[in-house]
Amino acid sequence: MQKLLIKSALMICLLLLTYVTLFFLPPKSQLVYTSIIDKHERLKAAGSPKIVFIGGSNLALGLDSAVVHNRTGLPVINMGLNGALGLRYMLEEVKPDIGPGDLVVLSAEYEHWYGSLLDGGLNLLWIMQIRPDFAQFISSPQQYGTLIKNLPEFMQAKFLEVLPARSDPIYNRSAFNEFGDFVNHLNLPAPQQLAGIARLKEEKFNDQTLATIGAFGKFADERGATVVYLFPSLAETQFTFQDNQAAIAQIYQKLQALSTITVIGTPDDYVFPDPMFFDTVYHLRADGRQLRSEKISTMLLSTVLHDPQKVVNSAP
Amino acid sequence: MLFNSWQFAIYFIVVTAAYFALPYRARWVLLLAASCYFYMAFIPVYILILLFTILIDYGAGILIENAQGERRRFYLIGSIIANVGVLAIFKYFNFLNGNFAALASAIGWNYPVENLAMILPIGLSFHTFQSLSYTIEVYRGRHKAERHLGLFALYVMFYPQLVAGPIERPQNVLPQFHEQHDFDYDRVTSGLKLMAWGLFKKVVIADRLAVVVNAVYGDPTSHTSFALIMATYFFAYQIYCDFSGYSDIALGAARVMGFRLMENFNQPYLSQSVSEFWRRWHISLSTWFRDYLYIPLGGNRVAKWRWYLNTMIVFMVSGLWHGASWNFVIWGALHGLYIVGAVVIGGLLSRTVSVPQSGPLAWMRRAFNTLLTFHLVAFAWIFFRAANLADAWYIVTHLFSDLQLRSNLGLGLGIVPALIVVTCILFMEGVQYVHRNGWINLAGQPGWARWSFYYMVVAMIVLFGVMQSEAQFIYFQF
Repeated sequence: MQKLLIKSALMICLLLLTYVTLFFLPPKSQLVYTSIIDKHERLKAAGSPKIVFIGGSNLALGLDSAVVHNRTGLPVINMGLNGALGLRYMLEEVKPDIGPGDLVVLSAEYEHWYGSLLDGGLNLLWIMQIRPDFAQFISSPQQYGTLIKNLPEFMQAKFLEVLPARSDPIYNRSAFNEFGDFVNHLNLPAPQQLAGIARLKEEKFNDQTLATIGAFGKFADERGATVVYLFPSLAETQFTFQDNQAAIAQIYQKLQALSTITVIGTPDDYVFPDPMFFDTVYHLRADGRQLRSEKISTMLLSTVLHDPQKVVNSAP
Repeated sequence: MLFNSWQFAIYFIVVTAAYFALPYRARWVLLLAASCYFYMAFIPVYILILLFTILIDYGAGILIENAQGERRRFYLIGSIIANVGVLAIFKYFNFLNGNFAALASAIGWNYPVENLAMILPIGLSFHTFQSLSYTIEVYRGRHKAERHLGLFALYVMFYPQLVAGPIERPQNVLPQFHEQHDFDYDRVTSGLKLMAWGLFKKVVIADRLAVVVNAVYGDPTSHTSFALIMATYFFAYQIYCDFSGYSDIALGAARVMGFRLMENFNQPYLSQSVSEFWRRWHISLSTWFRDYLYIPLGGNRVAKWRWYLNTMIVFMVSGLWHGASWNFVIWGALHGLYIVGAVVIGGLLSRTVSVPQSGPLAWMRRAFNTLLTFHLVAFAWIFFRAANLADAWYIVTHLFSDLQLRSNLGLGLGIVPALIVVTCILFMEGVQYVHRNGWINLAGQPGWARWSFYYMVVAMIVLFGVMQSEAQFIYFQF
């Protein structure tokens, strides 16, 4: 029995050594998540006032920041990257760079409201690998729980990532433009069926999401910034799938009760036909992205930016 | 509780440790309780079905042994009706009802019987067949009726083989429950290695291939011929690695505790004929059908036409055993046709062509036969895997209609993972071939070589194995 235990322990040690070695191997420089470095550089360099878009891939792939910049005249930074970083992390990572007069446009995917994506998923571990100092933006025990829970799957992803292979031709660091918008997918064809069609209410409504957004609104207010909430772009099929419309209406209703942020538009405003999407129900192609960006600009200008000075002057 | 889950890892360690810690006389209680827990982890209330089967066949065994003449047959038939009745209600009722409804509708009759809304008990066909083999063996006088109800219950529901076999015979397993098994380092490590090998096959190969197979077979009309062909090849290996992986884990887990279960697979895809395939694939089921259906029907000691008919009956029943749908019946019928066809064509060829038995031509013939057998089997898998007959027909008729290679060579799996998984298949077949032919005895190799091998297998499980707990074993549904 002792022999068996010793040999088992030895095998476990070998596996742990493999894990540690693999964990500390640097990720490839073209990995899509390394774009977080560029986004943060832009955010820091922009100063205030500016418009900062916060959200997941609905923003990364579905926003033409140039349109917003041209219409509003303000510097735009698109921080959108991936929903699985978790809304909690996304809000924390921008906090140091929010200044007076800034307009923060928040557009969280619906999965941040239903389920536990608020605290992120596997992809948050990529960020911790690329920028270990960003661990400072991990603010809750639930996020640490998420990191630990996803570690085995992350190590599998890392194993495949370190193997010699061509980097992803679509999802890579070079795919982002100077605003932080992802542009590689724009003219790719629409698939026959979009990925990510699912019933939102399969997961429980997460009350903490509302509280987190509310707290962020308060923080921004103290910094002299304004926070608005925009609903994410969404494919029509997903919007009308089973009781998703009711699930989304519930989010809208809850957001109305928040006093620290302004909700701009309704969920329906950002629902687009399926052929306007690239691969998932959130990722708009060129035509949809253009339409959405125009819509966002118009809405911002007709509400919080109807007098751009209003935002700027709201600084204490 | 799935073998490829953390829950099972903990369960296995706790049960095995307790097994060796307990005195011999108390071990059956532990194993029975552990087996009940294992089964109840799926749908607790279905334990009552098992209890019913156990009580009926326990009683039937004793009654058969004590009875004389026609009474024995009477009790056997009673046991068969009870067992098949359970299968008929839980597995075949909706299938039969659906067919009756379709027939009634076709001839304009009103058929009001509704389908039963219930989930198929996990592994029902396995433990029912195992229990049936007991009463049949007692009836045939080849095994004494078990008087110990607890040990008989353990025979039916011994957790390693409870939900997907191997379908054991009482002669092999029941006596082992009366034996004392002490901790033996070599046997325990051999069992653990077999479990790791089974897990490798399941999570590294089968579950990776499932990504492609599920995508293509879930929506065949959206895929090219290339994808349909690759998914069919992949399914052939998915189901093999899934099921033989399960069997390896079952055999390994039993071996750790000192129990020897029968081998269920012997590199079936290296068979040179479909009949050889069935001697190497799901051996415990093939031999069950051979002993309890094919031979009682007359086997091959009858007129030729009757022999062909017997073969077709056995394979179609075997198809129905796998699932209550016409897809499975057609899958079984195809195998029956292959075997009958081989006999007819083989007979014609042997009268006209002389086949070399040695030299390069013989080698080429064997290679050709192996390839042909694999392709025949893979073709039949289309009916087994397709969601319905319409999908199966679509796939069959579109296998060669659009052979253009598209950019998506990774088939949704990614090029690198696809290459890794194909390498793993070759590695698995190579290792098993070398092992079975005794070319290399791993145990006789230097420590670094053995450890390199073990490390590679375990590291692949950890770093490349699919970890989603919902990746159930395919054969659990039967």
